[in-house]
Amino acid sequence: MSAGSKDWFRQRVAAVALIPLSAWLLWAGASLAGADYAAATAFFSQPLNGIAALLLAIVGLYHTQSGVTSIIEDYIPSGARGVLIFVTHVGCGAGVVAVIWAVVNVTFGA
Amino acid sequence: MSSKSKLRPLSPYMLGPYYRFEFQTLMSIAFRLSGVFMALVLAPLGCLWMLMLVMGPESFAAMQSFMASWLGTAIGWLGALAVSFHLCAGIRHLAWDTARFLEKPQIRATGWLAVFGTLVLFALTLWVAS
Repeated sequence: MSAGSKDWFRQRVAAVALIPLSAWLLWAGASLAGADYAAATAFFSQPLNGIAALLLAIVGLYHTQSGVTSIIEDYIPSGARGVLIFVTHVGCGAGVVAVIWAVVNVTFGA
Repeated sequence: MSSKSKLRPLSPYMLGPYYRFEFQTLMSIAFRLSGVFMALVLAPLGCLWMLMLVMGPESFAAMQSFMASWLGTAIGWLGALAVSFHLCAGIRHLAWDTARFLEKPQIRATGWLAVFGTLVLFALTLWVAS
């Protein structure tokens, strides 16, 4: 596979994985609306919810990065393009690190 | 960047003289818009929410009181709508990637199916939240 088709294939795999993960997000968001601290920690102390949050952050923010990059490439001329794509990568990376750290603490009690 | 790639044209804007505005135009714009909303608002807020939960009961209470405010509530509803729509419209795009449903009547039909699916998912989410 060439670099381009590898990228394309990876993006489709991520998108397919996001079908169940975004369904989980809807359910989790609805369940946690108005939840207090005890209820929210109880929710994330269940390993399945912690793992779902972890996978959602990793796959979802990879998908976010590739989607936002496509939009930038479509509409932003070469000048600001590189900077914006860099900011997108850094932002998504920071989000992944934040959620991994949060789940490690809340779910796996490090 | 080589001088050749600098000369490459950008995508034509969908709103403008290039395309006639129709149902599919709206679906395409809404697909991108829901993605942009999730990228700029929902994802940062979700990461912040997780961090506030780890920081302890006081931080989390402050986060939840923001989520209960009119702005937080609006973001929650719009977020549920954006995720529901992006999910349904995204499945449609994945189907297209397998070279299926590309005839005009099928494009229209799957478009309405995605709109219907969005409403069902959105209603289910609100029902779970209530």
